[in-house]
Amino acid sequence: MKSKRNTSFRLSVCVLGLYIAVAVMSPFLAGSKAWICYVNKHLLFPKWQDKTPSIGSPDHNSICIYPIIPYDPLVTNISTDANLSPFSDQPGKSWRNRHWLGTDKLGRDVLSGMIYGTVTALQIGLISIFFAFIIGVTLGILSAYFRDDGISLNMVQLMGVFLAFIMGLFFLYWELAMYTISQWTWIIMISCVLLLIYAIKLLGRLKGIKKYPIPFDMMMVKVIEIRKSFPSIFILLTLSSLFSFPSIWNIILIITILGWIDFARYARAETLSVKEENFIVSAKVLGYDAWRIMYKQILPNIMPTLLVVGCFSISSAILLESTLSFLGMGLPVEQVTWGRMMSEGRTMQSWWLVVCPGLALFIIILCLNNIASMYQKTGTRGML
Amino acid sequence: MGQYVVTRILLIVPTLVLVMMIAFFLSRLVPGDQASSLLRLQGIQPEDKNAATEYVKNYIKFGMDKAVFYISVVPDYYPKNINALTSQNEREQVRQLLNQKIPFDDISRFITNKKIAASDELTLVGDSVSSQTLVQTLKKLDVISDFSEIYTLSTELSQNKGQNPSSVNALISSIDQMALSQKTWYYPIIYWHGMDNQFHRWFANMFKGDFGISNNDGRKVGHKILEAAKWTSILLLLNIIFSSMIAIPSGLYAGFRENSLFDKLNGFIWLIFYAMPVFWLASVLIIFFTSGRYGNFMNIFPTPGDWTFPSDLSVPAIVSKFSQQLVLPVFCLVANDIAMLSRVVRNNVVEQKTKQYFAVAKAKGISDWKIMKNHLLPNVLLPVVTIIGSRIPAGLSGSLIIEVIFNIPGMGRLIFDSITTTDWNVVFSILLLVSIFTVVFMLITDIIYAIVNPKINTSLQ
Repeated sequence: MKSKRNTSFRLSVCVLGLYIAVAVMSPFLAGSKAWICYVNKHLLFPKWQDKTPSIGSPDHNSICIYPIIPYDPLVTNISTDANLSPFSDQPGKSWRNRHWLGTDKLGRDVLSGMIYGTVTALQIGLISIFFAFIIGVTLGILSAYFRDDGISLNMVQLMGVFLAFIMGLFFLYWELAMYTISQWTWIIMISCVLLLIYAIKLLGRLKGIKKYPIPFDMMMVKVIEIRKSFPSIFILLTLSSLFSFPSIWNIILIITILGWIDFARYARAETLSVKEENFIVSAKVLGYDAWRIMYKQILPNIMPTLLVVGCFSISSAILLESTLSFLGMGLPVEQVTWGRMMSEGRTMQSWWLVVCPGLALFIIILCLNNIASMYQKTGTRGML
Repeated sequence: MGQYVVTRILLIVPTLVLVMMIAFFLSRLVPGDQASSLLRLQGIQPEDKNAATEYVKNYIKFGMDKAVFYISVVPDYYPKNINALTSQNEREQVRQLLNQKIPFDDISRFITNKKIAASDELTLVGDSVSSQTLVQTLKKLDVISDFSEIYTLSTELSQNKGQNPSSVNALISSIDQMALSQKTWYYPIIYWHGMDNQFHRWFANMFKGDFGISNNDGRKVGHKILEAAKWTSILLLLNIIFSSMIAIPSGLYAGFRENSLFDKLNGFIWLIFYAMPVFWLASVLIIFFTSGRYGNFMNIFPTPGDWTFPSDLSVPAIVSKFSQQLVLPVFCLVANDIAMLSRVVRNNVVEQKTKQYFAVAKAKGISDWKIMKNHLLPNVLLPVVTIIGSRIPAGLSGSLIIEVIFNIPGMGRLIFDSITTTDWNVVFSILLLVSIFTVVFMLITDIIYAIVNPKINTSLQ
């Protein structure tokens, strides 16, 4: 199978690695402050120090190491640098101070903005899909493994679950509404939930009470259906307008809420097809408990499909983020994003502001799609 | 089959109700309220004299004094329905005080005492310094909602208890009472509000097709959406026509000559277009092809934006006006949609090629063109048509950003403009309509798919 992963797959992985490297190294690649200075026998780190100690004027022995691109993405310079094209001659600029990809109407460097835009894009894509993966895969496997009759609870347990659910939602809502939520509230609530789960498990030992199956799978299917009935960009725009303060975490939260459904769908479908195979049956015969089977037998077997879904999800999360910031919604103004640069370029009719960040976006989406479809061809069963 | 269709239609009802409930509760989460938006529309400034009474009129007209839902679960010291307080400032103050865990009975006593003291205060305006400060303090009490500040004010007032009028002393004692009864813990209480609530009213209005009025221009939301839907459906239709006109032949040929150069090239080109963000493509096309900035030969298309109908409504006039402007947006939509469609056609053809009729046709020596036209195409067309149908709701999402970029006054542009101008009635009506459209369309394509493909399991397990 490995030999089938051809050059285009390797190239995609390399380019993706390059993006991650750029994001991680972004403080070293662009910025107006030096990383390290050795001035008057003092070692300074101006980039990470808010206050520079006064050490007098530098002598001839002082050395400073600057980032490669000496511009901050948000520092404006309207008087001399506004709206420069990459090919225009930039008078008085040495090759080091040149704006290689031009500037926007406020004189902000485009290349520096693209580097910090990579950070935003990857941050949103990776973090939100990480959470979506965990939530979606857990619920998907659970619903497919237990179906509608896998878990049966007696009347006492059912009432306990119902009560706990209502009370939990109630206190969560009102504590949030009253702004009194603190880490202690979380600790108390989580320990209450754990205690309740244990109590409900103990209550299952009660003999002689009729048990009722919980239609967990049916509920899951319904949730998936409802999510599917809201077109993503419409619901995304609406949700992002509900927050009073724009922040990157809002977008991460929304993409997680919208994105876990895909993982749940595919994890459910794959688990259903794996479930009937011999190794699962023998694991059951060996007396392994359900959790172990789900974690050690099912999860590794459905992982290839989930990776494909993961790659597609990351690319669509990045695309959603840039779409949102292109429309100017959800993200704070001081957050550097590819989408915002492009929307500025569109209104200013400056091609470099549209082409360069758009190319970065296009290439990362192409790579992720390519990796996903290569996985899809070589490593997965059924589905997709 | 008949049973399958009926069950599917019945199963859609709970989904629709849940979708409506989600849209409704999202619409209650938005900042700002409709009564004050209408006030702005009526041209009444917040500092006008009749602002308060007009606000209350609007408030009752929109049924905002009703409870939100059939039941409510609130902390034990809450009132049954806080919306019944019609004055905006008062309601906000009460809500803030409730959030500081002060029982509603004490708050309402405080509010009534405050009102009595305020009406008293008119009679006792004098020259003395103490009465001046008294008036000032009473005015402050109306706007402050932090209880600790209220309490400090009351201690200031109580320093000259002897000189205060009795109404002010009653106010002080009610504030003391609030301090005493401040709670630390609460438990839930469930109230039943009956059918007379906001959700019921909203639901009934939506069923009647009454979506309310727009907060921006006072027009009916239904009319606005209908006008916008015209443009969106034109875009969707053009998108479907062009993408199937290109994708079906190219997919057919690519599948027929599997692994040929054409197949690989076809796959590669559409992969590129699939990964291309549609807003980027649109922006680049606008920048390079709608202005003479980069050479006059590049100025091919008119600058998009003039979408008003020409004065003479004949077909040629309309077509000549809009066709040039529509080329770029439709190209962007088609480029994004075509990849998937082409691939579906190709994979279907590859699957059909393993069938015996294909081998027979080949063996008979029928020409490739005739095999594709007479044998492969009819067999491929049915699944492809259902897939095109199922892509239509997704096409709505795609057309949103195109409409925004090219200034086309469709549904996507309308919802975007309404969000930026906080015109929530329009936003949630569109959201709801689009979702219902999606649900119904998914149902229709499922049923059609089940009819054309009897292999599918219609037992519903």
